[in-house]
Amino acid sequence: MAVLPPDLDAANFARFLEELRGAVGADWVWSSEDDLGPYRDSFSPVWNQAEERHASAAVAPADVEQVQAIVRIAGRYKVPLFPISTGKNFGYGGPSPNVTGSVVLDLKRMNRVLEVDDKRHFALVEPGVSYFDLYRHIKDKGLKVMIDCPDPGWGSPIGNSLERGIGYTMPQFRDHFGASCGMEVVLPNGEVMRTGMGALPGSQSWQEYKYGFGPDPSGLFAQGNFGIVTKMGFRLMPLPEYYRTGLITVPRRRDFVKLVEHVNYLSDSSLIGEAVYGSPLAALMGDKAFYALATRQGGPSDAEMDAAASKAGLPSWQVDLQFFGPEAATRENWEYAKQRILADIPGAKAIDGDHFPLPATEEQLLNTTQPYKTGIRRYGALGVPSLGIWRIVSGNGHVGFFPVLPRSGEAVFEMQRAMCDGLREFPLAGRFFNATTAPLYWHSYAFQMVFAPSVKHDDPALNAEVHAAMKKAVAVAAEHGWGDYRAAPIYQDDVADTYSFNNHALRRFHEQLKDAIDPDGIVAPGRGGIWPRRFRK
Amino acid sequence: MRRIMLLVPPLAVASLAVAIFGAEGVGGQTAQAAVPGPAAAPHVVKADLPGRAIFEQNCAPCHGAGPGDDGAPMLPGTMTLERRYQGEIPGALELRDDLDGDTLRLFVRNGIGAMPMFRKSELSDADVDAVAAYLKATAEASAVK
Ligand SMILES: Cc1cc2nc3c(=O)[nH]c(=O)nc-3n(C[C@H](O)[C@H](O)[C@H](O)COP(=O)(O)OP(=O)(O)OC[C@H]3O[C@@H](n4cnc5c(N)ncnc54)[C@H](O)[C@@H]3O)c2cc1C
Repeated sequence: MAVLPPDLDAANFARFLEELRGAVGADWVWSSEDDLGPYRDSFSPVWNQAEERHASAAVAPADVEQVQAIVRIAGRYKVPLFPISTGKNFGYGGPSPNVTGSVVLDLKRMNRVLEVDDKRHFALVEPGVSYFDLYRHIKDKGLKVMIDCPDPGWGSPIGNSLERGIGYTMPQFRDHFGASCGMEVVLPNGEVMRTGMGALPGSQSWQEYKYGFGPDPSGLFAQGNFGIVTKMGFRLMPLPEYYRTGLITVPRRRDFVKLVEHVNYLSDSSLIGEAVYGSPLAALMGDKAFYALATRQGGPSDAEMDAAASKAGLPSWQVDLQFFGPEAATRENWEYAKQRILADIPGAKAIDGDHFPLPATEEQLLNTTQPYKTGIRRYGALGVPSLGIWRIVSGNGHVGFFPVLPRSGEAVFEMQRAMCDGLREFPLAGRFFNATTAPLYWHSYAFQMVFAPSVKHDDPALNAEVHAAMKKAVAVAAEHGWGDYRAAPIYQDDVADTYSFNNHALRRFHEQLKDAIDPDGIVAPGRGGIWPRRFRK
Repeated sequence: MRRIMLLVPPLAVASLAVAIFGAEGVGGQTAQAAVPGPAAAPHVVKADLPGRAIFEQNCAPCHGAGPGDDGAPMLPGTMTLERRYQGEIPGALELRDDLDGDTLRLFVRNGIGAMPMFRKSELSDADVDAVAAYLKATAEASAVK
């Protein structure tokens, strides 16, 4: 028993744990230091520091009734609960809570795939269902739908989407919260609520019309702390018949502006899946002179970057395009994309990529059949869960800052320059923000960039630098109108603070709601930067 | 401030950024360039034990013996162990006959390097023992006589 919940003494904590054991069984309540070790954030930059957040216990219910019982017990003792689904939120806090002393409500045991419909294209799942589980269910039953998953397949549709996580297929599916449809939630008073058509007894369209009637509160449960989600529906893409890729390159730095406009058009017209941008010039970053140019104060000129590109014989930018649908449609859409872009950008080139019917063969999945080096990660692109992405994790992991920016070439150049200059005191940042940095096209209608420095448990000095750099990144971005899309608990207040329009009207609104619904902070106080009255300083 | 540059090898940082970004460029360097070890997946004779499904669902996505994603020769956990042991011990866990339940539990519950800890809600102590039995039997069945 390493830490206690806020405002609770050891004797009452012991009584509280006894009540939890009565509700779920002694095997499913943990409070020893050993058992709580795995509830720490192993990717934490404040590992073993005072700022690290520790759970006082963990409890794993088997069903919704047990969740309700736990919430009511926690309400009586005023103990904050921190719900997790699969608890793999690495880079954003892992399974660790916002408030030290919280009890982690571990929903992993609630792992039923309740329904997958491949005629109406949706799934209804419980929180403990991982992407691996859902994929296996679909494969085993031979269902003709495709999931959209994040790179690591061990996370869950519910946990990931409640973080507004992303995947890699068509725009309306890779925004995972956007693709959700219908929720069941245990509220802080222990009551069960359903959103959308789920609120209408006897409705058969819970996973087909998310709004129902009146305000739709489902957004409050993503990056929020207004309830514990126990079921959630997701729209699924019908398994496409065919998949095709193609690569476009453009010679000059400024060509990126037009390239982005064309790809925006293709994407918003639902002709392409995720477009993966890159700069072939990133390969030159190992060269000292080029590195200095690409990270120069104020940014390099277009002419200097173009000269470096022609000297190296490389195009300035490229975009990997992906097409899903009937074979003929993928062919025509690729032909159209080529014709549209090549006719408008002098010197642009197109290379035909891979193409094959779905589902892919093992060889196609392994992505060894692409005729050129591609930025596409094939598993994610085809909605097949994997953990192959862990090859990029070094040290004890990393923390992530992913500022949102407009989908324009000019905005990309501006973020490259401003973040590189603003974080100049941290030499590491130059690798993430420089004149070759390409935008990520994860969410449906916005770009992001990535700052994800690695940490090491046994190197507190390194971790402190990373921690300082993260905070600075949030501040520098906000000065330019860019905000993080998601953050670990240790950064949530900093990030929420930047969304400050009209004297923090949004935060004050959230606080009013929190005070009304959960004044004692039973559900995840502090998550999303929302604190109930009890915890506000 | 310079510490960060010294402690985090530039290649690793670049590959993290680049791999998340996606594109490495036509003719650019790949993150896999520095990976040692055999490219061909070893032959594994999988023991028909209850631990097999537990291993396949919880461990194999990182520690399986097959190839990694997108042209990587190995899966990430196998690759890390291959690097660590430099051929003295196999990187693939299914070829290891020296991992009992307690040893596995040490890593499963405490994590190591990039591998986070696993909770009892996802992998019970009995599950870990079952995996240990499966690994031993599989390693023995796969041993080249
Ligand atoms: C190398 C690497 C690559 C990654 N790639 C991606 C990627 O491609 N896309 C992406 O989106 N992320 C990515 N991530 C981040 C992260 O690993 C995933 O988003 C992961 O899916 C989140 O973990 P989870 O699904 O287990 O969610 P959980 O950890 O279960 O949940 C996340 C948070 O949501 C809240 N929550 C969870 N369940 C509930 C509930 N039932 N009720 C109320 N609140 C709840 C909690 O606050 C919890 O902390 C990556 C991370 C790494 C390290």
